[in-house]
Amino acid sequence: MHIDSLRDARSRRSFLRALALGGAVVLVPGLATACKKDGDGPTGPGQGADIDIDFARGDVALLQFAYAFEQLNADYYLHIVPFLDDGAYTDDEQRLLTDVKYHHVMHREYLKAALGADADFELEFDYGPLDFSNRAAFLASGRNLELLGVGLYNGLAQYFTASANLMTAAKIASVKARHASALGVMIDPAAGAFAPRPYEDVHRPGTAEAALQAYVHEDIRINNSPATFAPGPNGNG
Amino acid sequence: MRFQAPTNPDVIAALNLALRLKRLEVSLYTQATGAAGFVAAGDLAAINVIRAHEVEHAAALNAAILARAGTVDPEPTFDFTAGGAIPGFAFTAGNYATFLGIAQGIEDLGGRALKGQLGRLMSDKGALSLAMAMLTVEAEHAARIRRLRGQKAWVTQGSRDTLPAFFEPVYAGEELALQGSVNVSTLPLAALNGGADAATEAFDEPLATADATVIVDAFVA
Repeated sequence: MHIDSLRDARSRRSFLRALALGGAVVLVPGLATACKKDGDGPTGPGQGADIDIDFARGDVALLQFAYAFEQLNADYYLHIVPFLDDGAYTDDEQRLLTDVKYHHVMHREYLKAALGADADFELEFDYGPLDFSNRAAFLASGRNLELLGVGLYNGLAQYFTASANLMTAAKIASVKARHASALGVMIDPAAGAFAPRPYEDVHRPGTAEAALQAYVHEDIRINNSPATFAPGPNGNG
Repeated sequence: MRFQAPTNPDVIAALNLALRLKRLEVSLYTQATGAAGFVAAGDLAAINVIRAHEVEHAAALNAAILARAGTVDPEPTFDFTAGGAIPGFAFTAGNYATFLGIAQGIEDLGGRALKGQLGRLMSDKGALSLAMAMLTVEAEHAARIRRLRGQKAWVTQGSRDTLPAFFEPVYAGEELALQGSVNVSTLPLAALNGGADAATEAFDEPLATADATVIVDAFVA
């Protein structure tokens, strides 16, 4: 066991995971859930190697956070490819989902190129029991990922030092919102699913990290998270 | 006299431009939904949702300007023929398709114009968060209207699709493939993933203050 696995944050996370699983904490086998690293430990979210995103690095950290998220998005849509022409989607919907897949690859590859040597991690993903062949399930969690991305970028916006980086984040967030709208219409064309609220969320880095972590094998760690946060109109961080 | 920190005039100007766009949208959707039978029955729920959001956004921007001791610009009167550039348009039978086109152009404009103001809001994090929360909903609206018109939800290259020539400046510059120093359309995986079309669709470009203002002001009577 690595000594840093005893850090407070790690222990708290294990505790919260145990609670989330609905079990009594005493049933968790000691600190075994924190004893991991690289291959021979338990699988599942957060069980792989540490990925450190250090906000003390400024814009680089924000772009790394985005890069981690875009890896997830691009990976998610690769899973739909085998099922696209199974009859669950019209030709128009197949084109739409293919476009969304392309856009996410573009976002990931752009960030990888922009980060250069700082794009030094490749994540593995865990979707739990999600059935990618199920239209409703795929669209619902796909839409959630788009909205999560919107909230992530909306929340990171305030921490950029370079206006060009802020603009890139806004450009990508805007396209994710278009995705969320289009997926919402596929889920429920009659209702307001295309834009469920007057404002999209503005997430704190920690909120976005926790949501991302649920899908990621590696343990994403936000270091030096900013002390200040300007919430959005939804007020939910 | 109570001390009040001076608000950066750029922040007030940015919020006023955003408000001008929101008032334009509120006027468009209020007139459309106020004309009995004008909006297609199947689209009415979506148009009502969008209208309600725009009303909310306008009120929030108004409040944000006042909270910063700024002066709210006077409310203009709008002309949706844009001074005759969209000839004969009125909220009457036979003009619904034109209305949806105007709505698409104005929603796509709104998103670009708001992004064009972000640089001026960097000094005011509360206003920046408001703008981000708002511009992403604007993109949701734009995508919905585009889908109602049978268009892709995103903007390909700099295409105005089937919109009148008046809207050309709304889409000029959307064809940008260069993001910072990275040409997205020539990245190693780009060719296998939609090429230049997808590279431009994947990024919604901003519109500079002067360019956005010219288009909005074309609708002011």
